[in-house]
Amino acid sequence: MKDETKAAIICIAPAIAIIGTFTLFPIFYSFGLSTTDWDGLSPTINFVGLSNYSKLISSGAFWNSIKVTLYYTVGVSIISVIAGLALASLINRTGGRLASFYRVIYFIPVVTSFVAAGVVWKSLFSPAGFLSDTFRSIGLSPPNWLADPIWAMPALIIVGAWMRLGFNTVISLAGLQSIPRGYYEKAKIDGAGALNRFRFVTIPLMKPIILLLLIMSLVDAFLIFDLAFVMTGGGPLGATNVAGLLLYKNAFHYYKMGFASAIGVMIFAIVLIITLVQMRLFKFGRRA
Amino acid sequence: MAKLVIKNLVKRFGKTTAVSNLNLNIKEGELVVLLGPSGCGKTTTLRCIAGLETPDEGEIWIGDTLVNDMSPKDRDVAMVFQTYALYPHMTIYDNLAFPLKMGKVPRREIDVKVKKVAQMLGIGELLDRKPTQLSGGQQQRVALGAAMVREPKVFLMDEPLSNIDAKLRVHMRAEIKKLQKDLGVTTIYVTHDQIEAMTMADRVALIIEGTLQQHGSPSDIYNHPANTFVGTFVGSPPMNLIECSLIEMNGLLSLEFGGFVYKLNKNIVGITEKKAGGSELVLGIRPEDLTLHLNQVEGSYEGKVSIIESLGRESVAYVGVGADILKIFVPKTLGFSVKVGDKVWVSFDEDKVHIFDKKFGKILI
Amino acid sequence: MNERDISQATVRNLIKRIAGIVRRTWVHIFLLTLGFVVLMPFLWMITTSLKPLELMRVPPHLIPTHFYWQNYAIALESAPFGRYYLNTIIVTIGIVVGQLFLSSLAGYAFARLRFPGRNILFLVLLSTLMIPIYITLIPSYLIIRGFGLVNTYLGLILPFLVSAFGIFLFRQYYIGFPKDLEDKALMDGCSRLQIWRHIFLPLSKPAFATLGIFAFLFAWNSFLWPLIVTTDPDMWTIQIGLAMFSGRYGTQWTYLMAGTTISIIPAIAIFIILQKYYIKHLALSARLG
Repeated sequence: MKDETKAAIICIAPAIAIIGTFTLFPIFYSFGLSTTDWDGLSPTINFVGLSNYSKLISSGAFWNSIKVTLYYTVGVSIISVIAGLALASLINRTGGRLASFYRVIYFIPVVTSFVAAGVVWKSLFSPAGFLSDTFRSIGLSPPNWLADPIWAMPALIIVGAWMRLGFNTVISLAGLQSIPRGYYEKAKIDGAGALNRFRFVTIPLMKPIILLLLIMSLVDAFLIFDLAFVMTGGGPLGATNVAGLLLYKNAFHYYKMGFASAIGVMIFAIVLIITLVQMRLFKFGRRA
Repeated sequence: MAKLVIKNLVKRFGKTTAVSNLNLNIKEGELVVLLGPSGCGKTTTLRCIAGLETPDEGEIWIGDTLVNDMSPKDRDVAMVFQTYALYPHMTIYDNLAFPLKMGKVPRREIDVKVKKVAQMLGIGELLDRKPTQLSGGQQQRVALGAAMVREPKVFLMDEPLSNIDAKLRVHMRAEIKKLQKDLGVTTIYVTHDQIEAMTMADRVALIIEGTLQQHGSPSDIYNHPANTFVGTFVGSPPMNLIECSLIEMNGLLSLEFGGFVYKLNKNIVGITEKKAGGSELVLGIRPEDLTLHLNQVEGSYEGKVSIIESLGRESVAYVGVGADILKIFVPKTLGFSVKVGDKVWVSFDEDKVHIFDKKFGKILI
Repeated sequence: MNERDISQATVRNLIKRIAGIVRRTWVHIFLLTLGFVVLMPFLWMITTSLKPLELMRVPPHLIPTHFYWQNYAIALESAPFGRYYLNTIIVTIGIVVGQLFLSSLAGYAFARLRFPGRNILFLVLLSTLMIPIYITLIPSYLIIRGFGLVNTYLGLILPFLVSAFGIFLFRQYYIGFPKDLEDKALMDGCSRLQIWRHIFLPLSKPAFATLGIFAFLFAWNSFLWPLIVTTDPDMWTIQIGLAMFSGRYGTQWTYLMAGTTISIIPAIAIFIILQKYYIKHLALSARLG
């Protein structure tokens, strides 16, 4: 065997072993498990075919879960992408002198854990918390945020968007700064005002970045867990019982490992669809 | 120090054949230059000798050992790269010591060898610096040192001077040549610069498109080129090539070109007649073997000056003779009296005429 | 043009420049205010953590009149945050070191070695980046449980010892290395692995910094996996500790905020130190995307 091959084996064996064991193999394992009704403990495993899936499809709780997860996903993505773009544009307009400073400031929420953020915001959203106090001090009566089925998810969305903002801003900023000034100068000479320059130069050239941000946000947000666990535990009345929570509870609280695996497979399928749609749109975005 | 023998070397990359059937015999202690245009296969050949490429066919012998299946480190050869390949994160000392360290040489011995080489190359003061802190010339010396420190059987040099500015290059050429003579190590030197080849080589191997064209001393290559490739590659400005036909005129064999006739010298008439495969030939003559006259002289051909290139010390005139344009040196005595558009006469130095066959370019005389 | 025209033009330019400065200043004011708003939850967190319990609802003074450090002591006592810190540090170091080392090795192999199946293997590796954790979660748990690694550091570290992202990163980094260096090293007598050890590894500092910070943040902020793999509170990481603490002391914000502050300081510190690499990497990905 060639020297290079021998060396390569040593170099990638650990990686293959670990990724194989904990990423690739589990995919098949999950598919397999999802066809059983195993509870994770008993020595016998019963094959039940696709009945877990039919149970899921007819389960109100499941569809509710998907619904609220999508609610969160779309909410966070749209808000954080638009806000990120806007913020990046503003930072860019200042001529970039304090850009690094702003980048770090807005980025701090990104590097804190969802748990820490959840804990802090949970306190802020509590009826005795800062936000409610502020509302009252200007004469409005605040809802009982996290205990209110209508406001619980919006509250989570606010936190989610807040945590994502810095990330989207940094990426948007990089995109904006990579647009050659020549385009703007030509547009100026051609008589375009600031708004038109934004419309006809910035937006088209930023299309790939906007697409990239959207897709990253969508996939990332769909996988939310920590935030919901800490802030609401899935309530009230399932208003924030996101897919990840549903899977977790079924697997580790109700001991329905087979059933939970089916949920896992469904989540996988949905994320796959989002990703494939991304790749399609990307081609469009590129050509345009 | 060892002799090197290359037998029938073939190396392909995908569909292209980089080196085809190369045979080379290199003597102990000699400096052989592999010369040729970019992409001709000379670097590939060098890398095959080094062990960085595996030949598809053929054998490589270093000394009495067939090294085809040996890894580079076992072949006892050292290479100097065009880019110097100095390890940027190591000091000069460590760069020089590295090959010895890999060879498990004891530390004290390493120190002795490194310091000796550093002194020989005049880089003793630089041992604590890092490569980026050195000038191009200094880096080049370190690269040389890293090869020398291993005391190998063969030095391989891949265009080591091409990244150096012209003035320093002339100086380094002499230094490398002297170093090689002092150390007496068999050296194979790759370059596309014919001046380098001519000034440094004991022997030159001219390679074009993967094939060896000629292997001989610089003066052999220059004065007796084996074919038109060799003739035109070496020498600046390049050799003039005139397509001509072999004819019989007045009972004498002559070469006819563009309406002019060149009477073949009696010395070469016989050989020409024997060797000419057909009647289509090429006459080659170097610019310095042509003489420019302002008046018609016996045996000269009329032409018109179309361009004059002034190279400072001398000028080259492009003279249209018949259908060809001949490059010819303007002697200082004539100097400025030759202008574009002038009618002049050109004569050939008989002894320096080369005759090639047209089809393969091979030399007949 | 007479003098009056020239001075008029100069005045106009001056007005434009002043307008520009004024506009930019407004933008700065807005951005700074927004920055303040964005960081406010943390500012609230810090000031609350330094107030005595009775005052926790009272709006904070701009500069706290009294730094109530006791909250931190109490938090550290009532939940063994020290223990959680230790666990998290061990796990984080394990994951970061493992990822740095193994990604560098594998990245080198994919970048510079020729071996059969290299391209396919790399594509497979890349594709794993898109796999959501939920489909691998339960089986990974069962495997770890099967190995008897529940409630162990190894169980917390093992699945994340290798990162496809890291391998990709190092491969990109190493692909740019000049080939001559490798050839020289081969001539100098290095084996392929020695080339990695003596040449690629020492020159990898930027890549280490970049992957280092990503790996650190991932490990430090990790919640779901530690949650299911540790049933023994002694093995909890700081995120779990914080979440449980929040459940128990939910309304006693002063202590809670102290605990939270403790949990995020290392992440923020590391980020501020290495932010150059993190942001550079993001910007690069943005341009390539």
